[in-house]
Amino acid sequence: MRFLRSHVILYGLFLIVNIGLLWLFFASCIFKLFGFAVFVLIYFVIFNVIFLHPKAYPIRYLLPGVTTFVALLIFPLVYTIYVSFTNLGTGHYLSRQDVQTLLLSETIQPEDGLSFFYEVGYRSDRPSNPYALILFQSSHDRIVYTAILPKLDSIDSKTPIQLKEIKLSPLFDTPQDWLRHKQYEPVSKRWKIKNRQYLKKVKLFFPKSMNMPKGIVLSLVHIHRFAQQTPKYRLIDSEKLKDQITGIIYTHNARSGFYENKKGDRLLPGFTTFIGIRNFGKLFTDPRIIGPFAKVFIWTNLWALFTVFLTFSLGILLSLFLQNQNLSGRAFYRIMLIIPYAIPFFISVLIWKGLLNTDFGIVNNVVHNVFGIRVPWLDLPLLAKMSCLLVNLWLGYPYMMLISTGILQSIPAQIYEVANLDGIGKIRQFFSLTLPMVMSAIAPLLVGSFAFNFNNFVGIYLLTGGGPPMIGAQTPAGETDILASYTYRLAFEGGAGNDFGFAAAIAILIFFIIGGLSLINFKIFGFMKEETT
Amino acid sequence: MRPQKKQIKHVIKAVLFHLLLLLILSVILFPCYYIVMTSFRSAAALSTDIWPSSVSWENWKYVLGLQYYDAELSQIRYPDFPILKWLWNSIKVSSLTAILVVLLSTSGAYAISRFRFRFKRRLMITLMIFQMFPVMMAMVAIYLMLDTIGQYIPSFGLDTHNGLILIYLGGTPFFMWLIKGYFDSIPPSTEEAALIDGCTRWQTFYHVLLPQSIPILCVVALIIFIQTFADFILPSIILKSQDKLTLAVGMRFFIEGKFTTRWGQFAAASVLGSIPIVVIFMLINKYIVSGLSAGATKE
Repeated sequence: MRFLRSHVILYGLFLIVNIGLLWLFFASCIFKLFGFAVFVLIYFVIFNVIFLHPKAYPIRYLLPGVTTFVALLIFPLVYTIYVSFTNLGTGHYLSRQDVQTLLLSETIQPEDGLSFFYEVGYRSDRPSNPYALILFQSSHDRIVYTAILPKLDSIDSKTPIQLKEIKLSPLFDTPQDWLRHKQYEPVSKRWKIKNRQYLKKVKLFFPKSMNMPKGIVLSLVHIHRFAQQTPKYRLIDSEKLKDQITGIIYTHNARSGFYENKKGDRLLPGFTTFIGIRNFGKLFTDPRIIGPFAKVFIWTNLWALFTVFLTFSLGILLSLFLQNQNLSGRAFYRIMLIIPYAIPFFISVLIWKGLLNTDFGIVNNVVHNVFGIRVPWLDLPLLAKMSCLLVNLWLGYPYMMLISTGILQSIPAQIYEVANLDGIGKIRQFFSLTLPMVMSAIAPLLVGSFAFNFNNFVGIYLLTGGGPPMIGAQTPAGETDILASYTYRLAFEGGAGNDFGFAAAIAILIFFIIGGLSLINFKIFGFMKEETT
Repeated sequence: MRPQKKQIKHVIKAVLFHLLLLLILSVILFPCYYIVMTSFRSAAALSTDIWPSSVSWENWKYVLGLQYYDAELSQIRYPDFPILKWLWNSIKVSSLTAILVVLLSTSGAYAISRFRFRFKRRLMITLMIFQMFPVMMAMVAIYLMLDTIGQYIPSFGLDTHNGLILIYLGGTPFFMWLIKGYFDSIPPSTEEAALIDGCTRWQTFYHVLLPQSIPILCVVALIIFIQTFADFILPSIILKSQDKLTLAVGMRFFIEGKFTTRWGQFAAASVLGSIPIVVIFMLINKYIVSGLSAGATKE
């Protein structure tokens, strides 16, 4: 076999990818991302099988496209399925381990703990340790504690600084005097406020020689005070948390996602927990949810149906007009009529939102001049729905027009000639001849358009934001919300917090509906008939 | 009927048709006309004007990032929203996405078009079905995914353009199918000749098929460009800092409730943002039609 340059490149790439995958695998193990590591391993195996197995030659070509697809679409899909079985959302964002760590790091100031006022002095001739700290309980104390602080940005809260006990001689009236005596210039209160983020990192401890109770660490609790802080909770039985002051024990409740005591009081924040099919159950059993959800579902279907019907009707009508051979300037009309489709969606929808604005939109200005009233196009439920449909009609008819034109052109003209000879009227020709032929070709595209509009988030959300709010709905549902926008608002705009778990459940449901539709579409219309090469 | 009468009838019909079409056209295109006019309207003009009573360039100055006169505050100032930057962001993200997605999809399209292998049909259908899962539904997952990636590789995390483009790269199956459709219409005879002459499959792909299909790949890239440019959902979830927004998200943010004060500027921004897309669209629209109805029409 000749050793071509392309062989070198191929084997080189093969080697590089393998090395890369192995490195990724080990890196993710180190970072404890075991789920990801498993995926990488599986991909590693598949990759090598595909490249080494002679029969799998064609699949090599599919690898780049399919890899990104699986990584960036399938993986989120799987994760969304997982999320739909949890209670992820506001108040339940961290894992139980993380919440436990968080709660254990909470501190309080014990009532009988040590507490000091403090002053800071600055010396410019000591660049690496320019600050001195002095702690005192009252400004006439004779016993004070001092410490030397390093440069502000090198203060590390993990390295406590040692305190020294000093007996002030009667010469010094106040701690500031002592500072000045030591050549330190006392800082102002404004300085303390300005640099409090660094002061907060200062941790002070007493050396063993001072006979203080063990383990006391002082930190900034107030802009003017350093005080002793202890952790609020202590871990017992490696699972439960005990409040140090009240002695109440909190255990984690996997069902509710909180640490709770016997009475049922909860500690915030909560953690994410597996709640099984409760999200789906909520969908079908909670009356506050079913009502709005059913309404949204019905409207979503109607919306998609009417959109397809309206856009197709206008589209095919216009393309029929333009089929007329005798009409000059057809190309001009065609180009001009496509313009609404060419303008980016979000721009057109936002423009319409402005045009239909009740008080300032030009539509209402014209209506006002003619009829004397202003119509709340986007504020009343029925009108809002109509407005959405009309705007979508404006946006979508060119697409239907384009594909109808393509199909109409493939219908041989003889059929019409024969029909004319037979004396069949134009209108009947349309319904009995043209329409059935167009339908058989265009039906899969119509179903595709239905699926697209079923999820046409942009069309609704940018125009009405979901529409006038439904009265009495517990979740943020609007009159023009479709499932997609409802889900989005639930996940990202919830007033009582975001419920990602529930939103994920709805998302899965929508996917099944759309997927099912598409599958039927493919089966019925024979997508991808096996070609004979 | 006598020939002249028939001719007159034809002329009348033609005139009627033209009138009807022009009427429909003017109703449909009125918003476009109105927006263009509004972008030149000064703040002092009435909103009911069909023809602006006073022409001003202030809105355009705002959109282009130049100093302008703010009628509300009666002062000359710099615009507070970086509209031109948003436009550039959109163009940048859309172009990169277009190029990368085409690169990733082409080889897959070649495999589906030119090879026969087991599970081919089922694989394609599965890919298409799963692609129907609108990316928007996995928004939580994508958000968390980018968050995690961002912790390890900051330049690909949330609020970055790289992260956004990364997510767009998942949309390959549809374009694989589109490019496959175009490949199918190129007769394989040249490739078969090359194969007989001793070329490997890869060489026929790279040296024979690709050069022939460059125009088609350009068209697909432009389609992806248009689609990405108009996308609103993903950028609104992923991008947060004002500087990084794409035009789609930025405009929404820009107009949030402030239709009275910002309408003129919004109009100018709309025109600016639409023109490149409309032009591109017009250039490739016949390819779009043939691609979309491939298989539906009898050639």
